[in-house]
Amino acid sequence: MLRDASGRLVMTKGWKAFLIIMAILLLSAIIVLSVFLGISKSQEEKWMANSEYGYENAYYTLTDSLLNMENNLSKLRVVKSENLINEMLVEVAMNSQTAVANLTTLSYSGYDMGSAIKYCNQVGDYCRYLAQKVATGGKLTDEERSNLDGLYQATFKLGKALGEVKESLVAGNKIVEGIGKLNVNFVNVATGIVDGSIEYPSLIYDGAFSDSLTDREVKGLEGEDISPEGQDDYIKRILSGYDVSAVEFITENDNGFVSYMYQVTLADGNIASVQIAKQGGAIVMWDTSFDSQEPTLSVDEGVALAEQYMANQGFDNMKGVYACVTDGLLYVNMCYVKDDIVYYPDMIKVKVSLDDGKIVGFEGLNYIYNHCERDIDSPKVTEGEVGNMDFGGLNITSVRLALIPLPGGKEALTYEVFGNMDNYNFYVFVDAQSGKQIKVMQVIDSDEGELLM
Amino acid sequence: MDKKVIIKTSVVAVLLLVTVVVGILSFYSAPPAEEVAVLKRGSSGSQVRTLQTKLNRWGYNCGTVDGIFGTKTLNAVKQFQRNNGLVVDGIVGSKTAAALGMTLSSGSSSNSSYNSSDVYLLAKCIYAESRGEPYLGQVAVGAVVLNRVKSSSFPNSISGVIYQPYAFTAVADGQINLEPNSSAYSAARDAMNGWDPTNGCIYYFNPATATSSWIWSRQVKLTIGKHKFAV
Repeated sequence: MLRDASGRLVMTKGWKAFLIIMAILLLSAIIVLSVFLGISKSQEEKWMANSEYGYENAYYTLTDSLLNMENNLSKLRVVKSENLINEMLVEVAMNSQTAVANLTTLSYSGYDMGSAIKYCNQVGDYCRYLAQKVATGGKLTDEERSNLDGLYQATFKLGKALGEVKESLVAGNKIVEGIGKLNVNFVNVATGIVDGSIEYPSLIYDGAFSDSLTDREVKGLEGEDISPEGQDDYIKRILSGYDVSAVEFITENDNGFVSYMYQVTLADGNIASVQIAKQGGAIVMWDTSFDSQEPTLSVDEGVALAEQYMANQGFDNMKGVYACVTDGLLYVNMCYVKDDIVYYPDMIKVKVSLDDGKIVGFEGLNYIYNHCERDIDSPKVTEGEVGNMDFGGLNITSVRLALIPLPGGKEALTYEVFGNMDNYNFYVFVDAQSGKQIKVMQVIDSDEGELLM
Repeated sequence: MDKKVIIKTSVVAVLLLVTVVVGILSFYSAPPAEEVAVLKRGSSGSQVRTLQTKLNRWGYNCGTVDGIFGTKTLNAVKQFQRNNGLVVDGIVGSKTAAALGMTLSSGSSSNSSYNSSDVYLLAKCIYAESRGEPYLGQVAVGAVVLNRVKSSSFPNSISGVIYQPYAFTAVADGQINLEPNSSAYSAARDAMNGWDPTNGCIYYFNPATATSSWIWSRQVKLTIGKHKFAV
């Protein structure tokens, strides 16, 4: 730029051209960016709309399923026919599962919805338990009817509380108000159904989600308490196949019963973890990580090594009942076997490396919780009678006595009928006293698993 | 200012602008990487383990069978290709695989031999949440997921628990999409077979990074590595 005679700034041609080019560039940059921002804005809106639909879908499906639960629970107050009772209980159970899935979708912080999910799970589980009772000829007791009435009241309150979200939606509000921002009414309602203002009845029954199961009894521990210190030799005996270079006590776990946890450094530099019970020092579990290798041992050889390890550790009568191999690693399920009865609740699992035959892990929680001497009534039904029963198209390969765990911490003596059909393996458990089929299992991951005895 | 300078400045400005715009646009519209049925450096999973086992058995040293295609595996593959008259590119495609007696599955090359999607999902969650933790800590994270499945206060399936919104930070921030290593698989299998160092815990958190004040109200039962496990 130059100054003229009077001192004013005068633009040269070159400068003019430069400014024009820059202006055009700036303008095109603005256009490109605004188009781009417009696209991302509309993408963001689409994303938010989809997110909103996800929430609304979950919300409406949830309220529908709660309404179905409520209606059936309400009808159950007046119905006396077993068939109808059974049908309605099953309806409640099915709808409770839908409610659980959608409550999960509505979660907004990761720690919320817990008590509402628990309530719906329990209602479903309880109704399944009652449905089974009615289907096998039982009748609902007064207490059970009163429980169902309590569930009706609570479900009604839960549905009513959630109704406020619908009012807010009808008023034109959205649940998703922005990225990571949810409508305050929705959050208040969601908080309200879990903050204790709705009283969910407590349920004690023979089911997986019964409130009676929170404090599980420990039957398998005996002996005096031991100290966490001075256990190095014992830990080395547990890891008998290894060259141990250091044992370090790490921590105590008092969940259910007190156990001590040790970190063990092996001579090859690898780490093993060992957990033993404070009472009597029983092995709770131990584990090492395992690099898969090409197997050189057979499953039978691996199982024999696992049984030998159990005997060496002082466990009597533990027999391998099921084994499966993945990546050269053999998992053996071992059960206490006495008088030809397999005690499934008293199970210990052992990992064996099929490469070098080393035991690489041990899991004994079930054994610790369940193992005890039991009084078993002799079976009323004979093995021969079970063999002649109708199992559809099942090709039966073995029948044996087995004690199995039932929901709610109970156990039952059964005949375990093992067989196959269409390349699938099945276990059917027949009650040894009543002759009724009480449980059936299908082995779904049967590629490398096999029954051992 | 002379014309040359103006032209130069303009050219630089245009190039700069184009670079920025193209950069922004390509960042937002990056196409997803195609899944090709080959194993190469950086691949991981069970097929890599099979590859390593086979190479080791035939005397090509891959080191430890860890399911991760690293330098040692690369060198072993190249040596194998050289000895068998194949193109020496260090990539296991259909020809090298056939020479090795392997079949490569199309699609994701890493998880095909696990027919149970649950083990895969659990391994992904363990890897995302606790890689770098001691092995026992990884098993414990897997056990917490399975304890939640059993608990009435949580969804009743492994996928339901893992994908419960906001339940796991590694799911929320996308780390769940990382490919799990063999240790995570091993820990997942142990957890699914019943190994539970926590004996029933349903929460864990890292006290150094936990942002929820609520989690501190939980009863902590034990600490493994950086994680506190609670009920």
